[in-house]
Amino acid sequence: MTNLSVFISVPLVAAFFIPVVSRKVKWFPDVCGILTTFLLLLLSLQTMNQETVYSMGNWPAPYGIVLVLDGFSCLLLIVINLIGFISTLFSFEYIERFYTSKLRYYSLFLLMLAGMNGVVLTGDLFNLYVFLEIASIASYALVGFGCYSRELEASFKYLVMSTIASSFILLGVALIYGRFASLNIAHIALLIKQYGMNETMVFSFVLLLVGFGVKAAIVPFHAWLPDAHPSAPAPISAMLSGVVIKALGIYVIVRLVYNLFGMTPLISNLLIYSGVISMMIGVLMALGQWDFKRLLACHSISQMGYIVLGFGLGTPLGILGGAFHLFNHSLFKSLLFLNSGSVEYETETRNLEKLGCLSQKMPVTSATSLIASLSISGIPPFNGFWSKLIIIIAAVQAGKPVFALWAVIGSILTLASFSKIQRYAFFGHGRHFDESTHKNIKEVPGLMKMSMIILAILCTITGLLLINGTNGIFSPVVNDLTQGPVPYIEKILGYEFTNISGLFGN
Amino acid sequence: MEIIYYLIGIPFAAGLICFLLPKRMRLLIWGIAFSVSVFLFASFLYFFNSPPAPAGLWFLWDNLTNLTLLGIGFFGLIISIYSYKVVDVSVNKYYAYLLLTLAASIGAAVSNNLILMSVFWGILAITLYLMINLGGPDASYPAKKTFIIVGGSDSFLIMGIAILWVVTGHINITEINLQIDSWLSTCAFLCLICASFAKAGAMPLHTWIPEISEKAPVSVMAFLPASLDKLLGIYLLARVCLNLFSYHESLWFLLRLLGSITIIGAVFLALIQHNMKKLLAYHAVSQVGYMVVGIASGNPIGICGGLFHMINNTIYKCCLFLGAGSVEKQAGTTDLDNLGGLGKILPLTFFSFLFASFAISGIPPFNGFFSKWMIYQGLIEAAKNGEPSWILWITMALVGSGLTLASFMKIIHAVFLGRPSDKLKVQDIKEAHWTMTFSMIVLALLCLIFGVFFIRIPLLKFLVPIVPSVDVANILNLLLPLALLVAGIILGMLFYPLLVPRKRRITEPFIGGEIQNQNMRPSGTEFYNPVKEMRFLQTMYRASEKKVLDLYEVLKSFTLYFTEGFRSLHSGILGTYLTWILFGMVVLLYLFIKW
Repeated sequence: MTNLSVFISVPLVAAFFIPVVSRKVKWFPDVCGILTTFLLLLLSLQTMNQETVYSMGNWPAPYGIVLVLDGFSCLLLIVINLIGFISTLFSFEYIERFYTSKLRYYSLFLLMLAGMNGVVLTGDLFNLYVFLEIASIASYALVGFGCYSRELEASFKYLVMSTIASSFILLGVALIYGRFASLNIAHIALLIKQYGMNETMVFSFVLLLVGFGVKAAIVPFHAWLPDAHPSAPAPISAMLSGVVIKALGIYVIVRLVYNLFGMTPLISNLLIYSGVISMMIGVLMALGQWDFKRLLACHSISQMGYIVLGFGLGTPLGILGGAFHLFNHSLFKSLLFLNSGSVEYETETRNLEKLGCLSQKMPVTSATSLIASLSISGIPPFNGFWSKLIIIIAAVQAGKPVFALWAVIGSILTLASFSKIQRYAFFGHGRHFDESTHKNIKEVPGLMKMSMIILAILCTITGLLLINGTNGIFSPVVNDLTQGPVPYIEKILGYEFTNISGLFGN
Repeated sequence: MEIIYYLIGIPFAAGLICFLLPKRMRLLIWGIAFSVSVFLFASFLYFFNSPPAPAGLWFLWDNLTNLTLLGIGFFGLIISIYSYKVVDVSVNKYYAYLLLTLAASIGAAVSNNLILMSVFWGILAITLYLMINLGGPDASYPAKKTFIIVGGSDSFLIMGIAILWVVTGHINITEINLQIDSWLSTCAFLCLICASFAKAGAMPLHTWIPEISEKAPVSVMAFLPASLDKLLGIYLLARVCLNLFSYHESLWFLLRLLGSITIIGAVFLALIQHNMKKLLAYHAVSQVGYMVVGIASGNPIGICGGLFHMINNTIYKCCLFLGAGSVEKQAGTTDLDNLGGLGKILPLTFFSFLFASFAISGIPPFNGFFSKWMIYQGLIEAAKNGEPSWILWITMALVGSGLTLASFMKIIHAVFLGRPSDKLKVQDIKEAHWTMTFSMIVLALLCLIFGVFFIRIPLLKFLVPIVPSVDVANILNLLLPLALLVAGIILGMLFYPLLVPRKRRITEPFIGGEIQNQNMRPSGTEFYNPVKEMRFLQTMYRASEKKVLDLYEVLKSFTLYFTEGFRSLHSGILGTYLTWILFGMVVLLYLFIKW
């Protein structure tokens, strides 16, 4: 059984040592970054099929801080550390080309990783807030890492909006603490079951929903995303779009809704509607973009919509679809951002009108981006198809075929905007394409290529997880969420405690 | 049933091998593709004669599958022979995609599980997209359009499958036979029809076919009817109409309507084209209409006719595109205005093209005549159920057939007859390589054989096993009309010398008494200009030039309108964004406090 605190302590320690050691040793940041993320990936893969509650400092559950590993956090843990590892692989050569300070980069990167691991593991609301802030602040710095005016502006916008969201969250947590004098999620859930919701609780729930809605970029809280995600270095964009909005946003919302406050028809409808609206607005905005990365960023909003729709349906199939799409989206969206990074690495532009004919010169980038585009557009047999299929079937099954139809339309528009990328960047060329500037373009160097190929292979084969892997990865998620708060409470507080409270005994 | 895994797996693996081989090992790559397609054709021929296996969990193999597979195998072979000399760039990719397409086509035709089928459809869309992109940067726009229409229709396919699964609780073709009685099942039917129309290229989702015809490599265009477009698109339509849903009067009426509109609309657009490949592409669309009408007639003879037309169309359309490919390869252009007089130089191409033209125009004794005849009979049969609209469908189909003949007269005259355009370097043009002419001649002869031995080969061997309830004796009644037709042709031949003046004088062309030089060349295309100027047609042509009739373009501008709206909302001003957050919070609070 793994000691859960390593997921937080290892990257924190590494983040501390990188600036200290690398003043003397030049190769240290790269090696330390890659090794740390690789270690974390191995550890997270080990947590599969485990359910653990770890009390920090051996303080029992409602009083001390607990780290909880269940199916859902295990899924997120794997996603975070997998994409983290691949992004560091990609960073090795990429950061050298565009940015100078490697030690700060890796330091911030690992801090972000530590924060996210903390968010998905912790069973304590205030602790969650702290980890959230660690991850967020590291990501503000990373968005503005290039230090050009546009990047700083984007970073500033992101900082302002995200900080407002954070203060909402803090206020929400404070209100809950004021009501129940407890910060343990399971304990609060138990107390809510006992005493019911009053208006303060509703208010704090709304505050939390808004706060995490901003982090998850759900319409109408999404406006920071199309600026912030493209401005970061490509591997960071991959992390932000592939992981951060999920770990800090969707994960917490789903956790709060299913395990803390409990699913109600109102929340379900709210999630479904906001999911569909995000889906459509995101994809419609993406259709008009000419900036490679901005187009991808708009699609993050749209794909978040699919995930929220899946979770919002509340049926086991819907949850399965949402969780599976979350997993798949992290793979193909990071791959797409890495592709955009490779294109930028060679051509120094992200403008689709200036790009052209790269399928001849960069075959690996072109092929992997094609696979990712097909995945995100839901073309079989790639992974995006399977999760969208499940979401569509779940929507029809839940008696909401109209939303399934919206998902279908969104899928076609997604296909349209990704054929645009394929057309302008890879197969054809844009209006301002200049052959002479494209003469010396060749394929990107080894590690960048390797990280893209790994992700492309994963995109191709993870559809098969549906057949065999659902038992290992996804069915615990479905179990955790469909059963509502009670098993979660029992798992963390122990059967005795809940029994004493006299709620389930009679 | 294990053999199915091999039949799909072998071309798939061979495709991957071809993809990895270097470009210069051309002969080896071709050899792999050729031997795999020979293997496939041989095994399909073998299985055709063995009794069909019972449907399994994943796969089914009935007589309709048999017919489709035989077609796929045969055309795979023909195309791989033909491509030997035609394809010279990206050889490895071309043959890899060809083999992958073959594998996926076989998969789509044998899957019983609908989701498995949609997976194969997806692979088909991808390979089609990649194949069109082999045409170079210019092909990227048509490729994109095709991918959005064909790949996008997959999403509707999935939607239809999802509804079917939820409503019936089954996912296998053999277990579903849904009565259309609720709006949900209507929705499922429309979704599946939408998918099959997009893939078969019926109106209003046809626009990708003419678009790619000019830019894509011509052997891709020739293979298209045999793979995704006609054979499998119509296969899907047949499965939807015959297996998945039971007959429903008004929806089948809708199908007949769309089918006849396709016939007539596409043929009018074909008439005015100046590019050989584009003209053929519009006919490809028009012919789909016959199949749709036949299958939607809802009685055995019409269904038989529709399926027969599917096979026939694949044969002659493939032959026509191959002919266009040879002309392009030898003469360097497919622009009708710049061709002419090639009949003497390319005699084999000319005659096979001529045969195929006769077949597509429905002239006896070629195969097209018989399938069209069966479709007409099906429509008349439907009239016995008291449906008055049959006369409209038949009229449209007949007019469409006549106009098809007219536009093929144009193409034949402009390309093969008359005087060569002076832009052609006639002395440099030779007959095509024997691999190309061989495949065309085989197809042309097949057109004739399927016509002359209509009863013995196609009817009894292919069609009766699929639709056992068809009344063979009824079809045989066509001897009388056939005799009348033959008599008409003979009479025409007798009268023709009488009408032609005895005394003739051939001179150089002259205007106002002045003898013109060689540049003066009456071209067949100009003969068709008056068609353009007819009042009703004129508006239609103008509209089609503005792309108002193109559903894709209309939806595109509609969508971009919203896109612009949303983009202008995102002004980049932080205050606005913060207002949205507050607004969202107020709405949430309102909702939660109220309930």
